[in-house]
Amino acid sequence: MELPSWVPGSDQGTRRDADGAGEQPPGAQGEEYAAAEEYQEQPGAGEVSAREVSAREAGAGQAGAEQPGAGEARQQPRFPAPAVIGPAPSFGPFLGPLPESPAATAGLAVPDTVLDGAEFPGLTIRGASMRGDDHHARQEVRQDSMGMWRVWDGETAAILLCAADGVGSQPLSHLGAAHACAALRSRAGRSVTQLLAASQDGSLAELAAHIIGDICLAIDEVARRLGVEPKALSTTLAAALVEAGPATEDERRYLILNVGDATAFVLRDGEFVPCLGGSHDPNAPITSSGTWALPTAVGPVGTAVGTIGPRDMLMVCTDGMSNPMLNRDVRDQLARWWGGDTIPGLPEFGWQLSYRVRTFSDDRTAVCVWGRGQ
Amino acid sequence: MAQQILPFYLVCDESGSMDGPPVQAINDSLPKLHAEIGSNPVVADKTKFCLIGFNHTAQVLLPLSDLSAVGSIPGLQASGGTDYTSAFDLLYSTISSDVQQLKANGDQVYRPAVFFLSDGQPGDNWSASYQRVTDPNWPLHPNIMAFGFGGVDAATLQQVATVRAFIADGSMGPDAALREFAKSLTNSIVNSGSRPADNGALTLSVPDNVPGFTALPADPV
Repeated sequence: MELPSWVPGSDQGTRRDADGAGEQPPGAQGEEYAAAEEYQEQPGAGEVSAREVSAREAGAGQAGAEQPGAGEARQQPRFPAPAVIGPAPSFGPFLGPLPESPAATAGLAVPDTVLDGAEFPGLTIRGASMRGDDHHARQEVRQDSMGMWRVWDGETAAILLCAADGVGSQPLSHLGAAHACAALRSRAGRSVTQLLAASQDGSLAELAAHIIGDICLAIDEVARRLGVEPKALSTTLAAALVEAGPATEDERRYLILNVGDATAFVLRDGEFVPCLGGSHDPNAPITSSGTWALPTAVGPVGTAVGTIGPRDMLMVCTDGMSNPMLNRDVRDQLARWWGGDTIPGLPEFGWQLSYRVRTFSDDRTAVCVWGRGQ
Repeated sequence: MAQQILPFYLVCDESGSMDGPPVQAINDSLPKLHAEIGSNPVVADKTKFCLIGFNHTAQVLLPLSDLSAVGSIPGLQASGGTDYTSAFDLLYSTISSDVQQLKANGDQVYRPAVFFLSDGQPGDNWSASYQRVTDPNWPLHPNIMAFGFGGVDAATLQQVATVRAFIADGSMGPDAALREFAKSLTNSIVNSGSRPADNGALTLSVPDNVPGFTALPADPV
């Protein structure tokens, strides 16, 4: 693989680090950022001059009451570079040119990044799906997809969240991921009452397998329309259905279903607790990048049920998120960002999810729901 | 901090039959391979590289290293006979100790990938050593891609390969062809594969064709 000249090397990364270190993401609390500084191991992090910091602080202090003026505009704080957790990648953040893969140039491209959120009584949702550096370097499209919806089957309302990861070796897997999310909304949205009941009476596994089967048929139909083999649309999927009107907000029921290595966690008391068994054993001598995937190699359909309260956060995510989370430092930092009193706003959530860990350069998607309103 | 690491082994024939243009071509291409991977930060961060040379004995010429931290790759010196047994035995022990060290660091280790370069004319009975290093029951068994040129015996290269063999067709120099193969390999390795439902084995994405080479199916012994 040739890496084009626009990929920044370590020199540019150093300059970027010097610019970014010491800055505070918009809306971040001071104590959170103090914690964040602990993981910074970026070269040049200590090179920010007192004059620069002073200018930034001055700019930040005037942000709320400034008068229009060219001089003040120059003093606006810059948005910080993505946080680095652990050893820094040897290259700085980059996007590169627009994707040029056949899928992208055929008009089937998806945006580099999706950032979305919503607020309901007693629930706050944040989600982002970001193209990874592997795909940036190869000018390929983001293969992850995500969704968040309020669904209503005529009897019961719920919030449906999902994350999907198109299998990298397949040419149109980004479309498979997107269509899996859309088909999930259509299919699960018709069965909210049935799903919540199944989560209580032990029949969820059977119903989940049935729903996944229907989603596979929907993807097969897309493949037929596109004139490709269904395998070309291979994708993983993780979904969470959260009841919109709980009996008590301390115990809001949720259920999870998944195929492949897209998965789910609950953040509770500062710890990320997996909802599902891992598809990859972190202690295995060899890590496989293979995964079960819709629509042709579904494998076992995972399910889980539980409740979240006002202090909890439930997250569905792709392996571009869960793999770096195998590191304690990553989990701890995410817990500091997302386990406190303040739920991040959309730009801040996007900044947080763009954290960088050396060698973890896959697409990354996470959709999070907190069991409380803003 | 755990990282995702692909161990990458280049196993080169440096026997007397490789003397002259063949070994010179490899020596000329090694710096380019180094540059190809070492200057590509996205791949270099997650790839570690080891060079093994063999004739009637085998030796590790460059221990498993981060190529971006290596100044240069040692050159090969052609002499002696061709003994595949020594190559596969050393490959087995080197992979064993390397993966053990990586796991001790907490890293996630992808299945090792091996480039095996030879003119394919061994003088020994190497099947037992080969079968040990490619035994599916050995958790660390590598994916082997064989790369042959010169007076190559295509059948032997097919027996060495577990994935695919590539035989030089003479349309370009071995250095240029090796670079082409390196590009394809580095791309395919970092791609996730799809696990077939029938046997649960990872399907590695490997190029069907490499410029300058004729691709042949693997035919492991």
